[in-house]
Amino acid sequence: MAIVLQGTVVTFDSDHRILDPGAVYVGDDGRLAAVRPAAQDAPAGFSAAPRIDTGALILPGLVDLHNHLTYNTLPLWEAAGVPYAHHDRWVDEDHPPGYSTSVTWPAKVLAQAAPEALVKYVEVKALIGGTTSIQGAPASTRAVDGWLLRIIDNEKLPAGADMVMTSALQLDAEELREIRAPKLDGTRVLIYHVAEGKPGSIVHREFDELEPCLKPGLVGVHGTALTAADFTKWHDAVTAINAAEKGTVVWSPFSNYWLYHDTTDVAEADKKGLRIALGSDWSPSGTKHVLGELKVADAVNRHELDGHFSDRDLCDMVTANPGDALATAWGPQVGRLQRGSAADLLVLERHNPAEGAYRNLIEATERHVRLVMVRGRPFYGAPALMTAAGATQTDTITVAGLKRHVAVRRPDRADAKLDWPGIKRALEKVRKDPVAAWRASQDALAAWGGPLDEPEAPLALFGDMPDGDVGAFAAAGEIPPDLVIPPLDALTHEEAYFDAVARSGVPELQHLAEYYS
Amino acid sequence: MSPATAQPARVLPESVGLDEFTARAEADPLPLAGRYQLVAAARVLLEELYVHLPLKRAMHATDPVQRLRLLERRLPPLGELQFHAELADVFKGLHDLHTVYQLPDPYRGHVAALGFLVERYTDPDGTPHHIVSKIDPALVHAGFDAGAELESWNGVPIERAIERNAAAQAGSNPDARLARGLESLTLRPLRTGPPPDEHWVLLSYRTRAGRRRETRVPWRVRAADQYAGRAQDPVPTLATSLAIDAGNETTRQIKRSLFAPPGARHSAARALRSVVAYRTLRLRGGAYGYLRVFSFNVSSARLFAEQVARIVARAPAGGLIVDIRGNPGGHVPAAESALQVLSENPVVPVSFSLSTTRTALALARSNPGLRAWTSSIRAAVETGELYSQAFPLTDPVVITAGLPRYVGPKVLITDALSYSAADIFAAGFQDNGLGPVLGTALRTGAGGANVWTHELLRVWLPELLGDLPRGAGFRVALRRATRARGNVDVPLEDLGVQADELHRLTKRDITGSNHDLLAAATALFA
Repeated sequence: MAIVLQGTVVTFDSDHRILDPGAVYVGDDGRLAAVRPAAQDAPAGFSAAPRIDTGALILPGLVDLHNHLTYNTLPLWEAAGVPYAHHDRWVDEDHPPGYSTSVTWPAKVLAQAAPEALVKYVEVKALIGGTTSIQGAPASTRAVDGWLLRIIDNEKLPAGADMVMTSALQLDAEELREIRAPKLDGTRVLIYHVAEGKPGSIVHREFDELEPCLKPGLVGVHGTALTAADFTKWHDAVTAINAAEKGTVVWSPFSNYWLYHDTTDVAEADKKGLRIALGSDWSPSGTKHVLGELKVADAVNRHELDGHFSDRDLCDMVTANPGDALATAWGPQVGRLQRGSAADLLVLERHNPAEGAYRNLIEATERHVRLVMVRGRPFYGAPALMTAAGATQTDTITVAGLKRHVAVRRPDRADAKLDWPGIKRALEKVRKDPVAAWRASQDALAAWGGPLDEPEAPLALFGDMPDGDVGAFAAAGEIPPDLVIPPLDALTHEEAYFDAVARSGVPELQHLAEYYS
Repeated sequence: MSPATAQPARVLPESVGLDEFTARAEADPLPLAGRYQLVAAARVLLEELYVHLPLKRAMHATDPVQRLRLLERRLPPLGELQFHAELADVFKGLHDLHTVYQLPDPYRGHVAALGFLVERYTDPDGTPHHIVSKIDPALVHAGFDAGAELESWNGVPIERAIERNAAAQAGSNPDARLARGLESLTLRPLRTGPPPDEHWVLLSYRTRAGRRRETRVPWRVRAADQYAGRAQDPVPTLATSLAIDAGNETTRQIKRSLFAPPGARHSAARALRSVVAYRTLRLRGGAYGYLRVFSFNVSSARLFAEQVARIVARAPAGGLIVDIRGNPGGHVPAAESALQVLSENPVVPVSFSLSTTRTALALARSNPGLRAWTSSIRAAVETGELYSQAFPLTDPVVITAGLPRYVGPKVLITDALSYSAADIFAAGFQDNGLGPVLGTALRTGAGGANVWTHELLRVWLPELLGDLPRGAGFRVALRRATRARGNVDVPLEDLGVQADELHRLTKRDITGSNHDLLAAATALFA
């Protein structure tokens, strides 16, 4: 339904205007009809629309440009071999807790035995952190019908075609050169994991192989092994094609420090003209959502980078910058509040009136998220705001001690039938007896000899990360008989999470807890 | 003088007439764009992912990719059935039952059936006989019943009719083609080939009493497998460890639903009880176990191995006969795990290789389960290898941990319809020295590959493989199987497993519960 949200509108538009008070006009089509000072007249068609005075900050929904959703029910993986040299090292970690037993198998079983519940749980986790767009969808036997979030990998903007290519696993040099590079013609985006490891490690060669793709539309995830010279080369290659374009580096500082005790030289990347976006990465080595990652970025900026980035710069990393990166494929749709863009919105409590809007966003925790809308539909928020925004079929959920409503059910969608208690029950059932749950799922898959795009076709999800050593069981369609699936990762940054961070002893990560104290 | 032509008074239950079925299909033809989609997808699959392409080009002097190019140019004027027949024929030319074009709805899951089966035996002097071995009660008429001997088929002497039919089959060796030719006389899975041209067959036969008669039996169409009331394939769309002839599994389901004992007709297609049976034989004063494995089309290797272990725990120590005739294959780890249960020593499984094309590399890179194959495919640019390194799919010792083993003597019975995972089972039986292989044909069906569907491949190669119209599909041999131990690196495709001993079926075998065959098997225990 068409509605009007009123509050302090932090537009992230080209002038970074802050309208206080401002109004955001959400159309029936899931787009913003207008973003104006509150005192200005409403655009046509909104005279009778409900007007909600949020008394809060209204921002673009946050964009998480690097994730791996399949794994986000799992807790932090406290791997024995840290710091690793690069991404191929931890995949074969077999010292307890081993990679395949702690990460691959639990995710694999949940993804096949309870795919709908898994998807919804990890989406809610992201919503709680204000995320409205996220990258890192699992591969699936058919398209998931009923996502809540805007899934960057699958989104068909603007004209019904999927223009975003993604790969968490490295592609062959020939494929990059002959297939991917020609597609980067200024209308498509490639989100690609590159050079994830310590500077000087062998993974730097991935950047060399990526050279033909150093074009507008390339979004490089991690790049921790890249140097200032590499960033210069990248930027020069892109601007030589289109001076108005930029390359994009996706920074995931928590995950980098967790696995490698080092992170991307984002200050140099920025100096060379690249755009920086944030990604929370997966929960085995990441933050719970990109709102948490923003705090890690802030802490690193303050303590390691001498405050190279301003508050606004940091906030741009979860809004305007990823939105601009995606604009190569989608046009101006997300990350900035302006007429015609997607009605993906975050309403955030101005919890520290003494500080500016950007500092409020940086320091906001899950407690301060008041409403999250995707395509103009309210999916998560404080009960009153959810009701006012027209949310239906909501369930109550307690987040950081506060009562919230979440709308996970969409009766018209094949993969959104469960309510919130049902989602947790489905996941716990798998945890309780993984072998039985796995076998039931394999039976269902084996019984299906029809087309995969039929509504009755079973849904199975596949993780986008390496499997590690899954031994004889995986190809046989079996699972280790003694498999233990860890408890579901909490939805918020809480005590158990910070305890694990403290145990890691990684100095750069210890500041995170301060934001939640 | 020709006797008067009879015809059955009733029709095959739960079926529709072939004329009605084809009229329905032709009334709603596939749009031209859909045809182009199918031919384009077929080209990608055969050129980039079909692991046997070099072998087939050499062995059968065929160029399927060129045939597809030509077909692409000639699409518009083709009629509906003509198009499906042409595309299916490109795949038939590969002589590979794994690699098939699967016709769209309404053909999916349907089989054209006459309602009876024909089996063949030879006299000691080599004279062949073709007997109606099974028949639906609705079709029994005018002495046309189990035991009737066929003499001609649509006016063609029966032996020649079978030869002609065999020549049109995709079997990869003469025994396999002959067996397929015989079976397809009366059963045609419509998912993998167009319907028969004729709407009925004219049969000359001798009744059991020796009277010569003639009858006309209509082709009918039946659903092989149903899910929520809709016909579908009885083989999973999604499995990654399958080695199966999907067409033959479909006909097996029809045979089961028509001719199995009443209690076994309606169990789920992949239920364990529908794929194995066991009895104890008493022959020549000895007691032997007889394990019949109809199919390896199951969902769990471990559960299947447990089932086999439970069964063979009851088998007499004097010997176990394992019979996999007509087994179209299925789940490779299940087959190899069952083999392990029958062996006191660790079984060395067969190994699998991918082709070394760029698309195979893209697949191996994007699917974490294929990681082991990546480096050798990548290296092939320099090494020039056509196939990647070969790795087993699984370790049967690990899958069967804790299960009892049958350590007594064993004999394996095979035929030319033992295919794919059944080929793999037979190869493992022979290579790991479990016992002699007794064939009713010289070789098994010779299908040596792990087969994936277009839809499954599409999960990992979404940019390369697009939608297909109306539930049409393809299955393609993705990884080729090579044998172990003394036959290491020997491929199964087109070669199969050569029997250690040969037993040609007798009349008593066909009409009397395999009496002579089982006697020949037990003789091998001596």
